[in-house]
Amino acid sequence: MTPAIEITGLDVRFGATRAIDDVSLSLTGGTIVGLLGRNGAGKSTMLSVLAGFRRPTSGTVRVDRADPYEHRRLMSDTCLVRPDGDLEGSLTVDDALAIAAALRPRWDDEYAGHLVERLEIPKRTRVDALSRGQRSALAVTIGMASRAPLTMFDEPHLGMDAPSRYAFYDELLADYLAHPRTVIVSTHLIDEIAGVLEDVVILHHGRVLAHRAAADLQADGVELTGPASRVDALVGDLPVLSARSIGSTTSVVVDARLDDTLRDRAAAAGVDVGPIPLQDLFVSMTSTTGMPSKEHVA
Amino acid sequence: MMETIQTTHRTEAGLDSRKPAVADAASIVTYGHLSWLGWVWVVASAIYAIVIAAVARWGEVDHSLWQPVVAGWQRWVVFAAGVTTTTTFLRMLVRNGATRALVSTASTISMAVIAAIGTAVIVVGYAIEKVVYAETGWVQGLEDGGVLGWDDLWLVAVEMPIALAAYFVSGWLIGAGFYRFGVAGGLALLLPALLPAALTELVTNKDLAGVDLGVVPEMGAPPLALAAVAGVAIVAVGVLIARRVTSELSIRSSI
Repeated sequence: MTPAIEITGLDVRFGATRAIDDVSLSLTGGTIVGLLGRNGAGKSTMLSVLAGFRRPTSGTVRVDRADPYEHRRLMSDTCLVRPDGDLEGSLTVDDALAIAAALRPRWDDEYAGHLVERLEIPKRTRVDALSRGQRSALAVTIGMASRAPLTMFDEPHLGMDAPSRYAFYDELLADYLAHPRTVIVSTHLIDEIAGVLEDVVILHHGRVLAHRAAADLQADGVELTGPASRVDALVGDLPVLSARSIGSTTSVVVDARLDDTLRDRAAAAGVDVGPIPLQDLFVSMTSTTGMPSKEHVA
Repeated sequence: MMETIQTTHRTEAGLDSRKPAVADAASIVTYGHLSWLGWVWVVASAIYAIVIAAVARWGEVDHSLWQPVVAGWQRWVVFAAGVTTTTTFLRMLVRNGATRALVSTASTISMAVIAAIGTAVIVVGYAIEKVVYAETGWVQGLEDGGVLGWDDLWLVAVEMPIALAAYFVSGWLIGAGFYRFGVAGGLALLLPALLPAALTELVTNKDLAGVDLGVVPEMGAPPLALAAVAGVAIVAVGVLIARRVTSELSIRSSI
């Protein structure tokens, strides 16, 4: 089962604040979707509505063609891993896993054990004695081993060190291939997970700014890397989204489609070309100033 | 990537469509409550045993010690357990795929189990004390001036679980009120939420099963059957209201 998601006219308000503002969105089942947005964009709120954790103020949400709120099958088939893990501090890691095992219909105990070892989570330790990263790793373990047809991760990596994060990305992709499901990942570490994402939804101020296939979105820009003078000559009047310099090498992201002409000119100039990094595109699209960002690392 | 996915996936994980089951959820909630309630009962009973041993060694007593040392305040412990229904178990279970309705059902079962075990502890304590007092020639007097007879234990066995359940429900409502409406709203709803406990105090025998809240007028204990029916009705209405409130609670993140 790989549930599709249909959101129509979704509004979620907290008093005067409009966290989600008239969002309509269709997500194909059986994909890994990146839900991107700046702080306060409405990502967590949207995921909470999809998980049946809260009712929308107005609008409709359909997961597998049904409203998930208090829907017994859909809620048991949905797993939302939030930044705090929703873990009770007085439990041991073993207890937290046992509770998930008792309640989750597709729980894979063997896989949970594998993740606990790989992510180096101490099993007999109380949750409130775990480090921030270990708690995140435990939450991720429960999310993965639950094998819920709709699995959502909301900033799952908080506090996790780099090896653990990359282990999570590896496991996510491998397990997704073995057990297809709909996965939504909300994250600020865009470049780290970009290679895993098939679709990207960008939320901004509670509205959908973009929803496209990741590869299609990345084709909206080109990254040119090479000696500064050659790159500058090649860029010419093209709109610059971001630029970085390391020594004499410059990497510039421009708002342009990568066609044969640009590819040939780059090859002739000895400049490498590649798709725009998703994070650069995201920063450009959601920048409040609307100006291209420049980062120089000398 | 989709083509790769479609050609490389193997099988869905094994599915137990019964989950999450009421029995599993109720076991988790009940175990969670009993993991600390059990210690409260053990420690309170141990303190009682020490007190009674000291009295036996150095003096004598003309009233029940079980009543003030253990039995009298158990309702408040169960009340605290009721509060944690929302603050602890709602998020824990919903996060693991349970509906709020399932959490409410599990909590109701847990309430019944806790009320039964708590009552058993209290009745057994009174019974053991009765035997000890009979051996030593002490009088097992109660706070209202009466003396506990064997027949009174039936009264406790019938009324105490109702009282404990009512306090659990009041705790459940108060916990849900503070969770949903914050401190100000929770305080505003405090008195309505205490109604199940207060009304049950009205219909149960205060000295055995009830406790004088100070605001409940003394009306005299009604017949046992009437008290039992009325008490169960009060608890049932309280549970229905708690379920309704719980069904609308958002599952908030702690950060």
